[in-house]
Amino acid sequence: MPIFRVRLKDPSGEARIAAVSADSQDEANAIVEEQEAGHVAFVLDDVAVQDFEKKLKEGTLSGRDKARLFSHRQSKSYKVESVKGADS
Amino acid sequence: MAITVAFYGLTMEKIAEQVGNDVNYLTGTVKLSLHTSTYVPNRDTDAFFAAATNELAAGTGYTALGETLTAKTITYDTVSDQVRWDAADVTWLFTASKTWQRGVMWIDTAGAAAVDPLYGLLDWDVSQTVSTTYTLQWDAAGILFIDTT
Repeated sequence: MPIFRVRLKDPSGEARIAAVSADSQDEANAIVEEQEAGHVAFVLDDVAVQDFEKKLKEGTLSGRDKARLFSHRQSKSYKVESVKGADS
Repeated sequence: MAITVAFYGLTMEKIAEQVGNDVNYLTGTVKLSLHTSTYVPNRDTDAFFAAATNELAAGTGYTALGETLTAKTITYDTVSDQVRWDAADVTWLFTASKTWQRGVMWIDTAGAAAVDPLYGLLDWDVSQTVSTTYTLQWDAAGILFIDTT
């Protein structure tokens, strides 16, 4: 199955660069857009947010919880900037 | 219910060393099999699928060797400085009681189990018993990740 490289960006300048295993460019696009929807939908409860924020400042937040916290903070999908075949 | 997910160490070493194509997550056939608590994994020494014992018996909704992962991605996320492995959620349509505690992500090379690399280990902490449809919904953070900081 081909690999596509998809670059997504949000207005703040942050980006996601994804390598996607898909049959077509359209399918690669759909896969990353579904993942973006998952980030937007993901919500932590207030207790977890406070705990994670505190640990982030202290430098003790686990990598997985760091990812969860950033997903929680994300309110809009990153927009697809480009989709390229892996060899292009 | 918390599920702990971690790389098998020897495969991660191969990935870091870029040794061989048999550990390529995106191009390989990656499967997820379910195992009872009798499989006691050792991520430091278990390297190939032959080491992952006590897989669930085939039938009543479970296919031997597990389900193939689809919609696989590896993404670098600049805000968290993490590289994340992800895939579509996995669903089993069980029609009778099934009990497992561990999941094994591995790469099916179409060769012998003794050469099929183990990739990631899922641990449900306690045994799960399900007799209907079960969907494994991956974390928003993906299946596996590396923090680059």
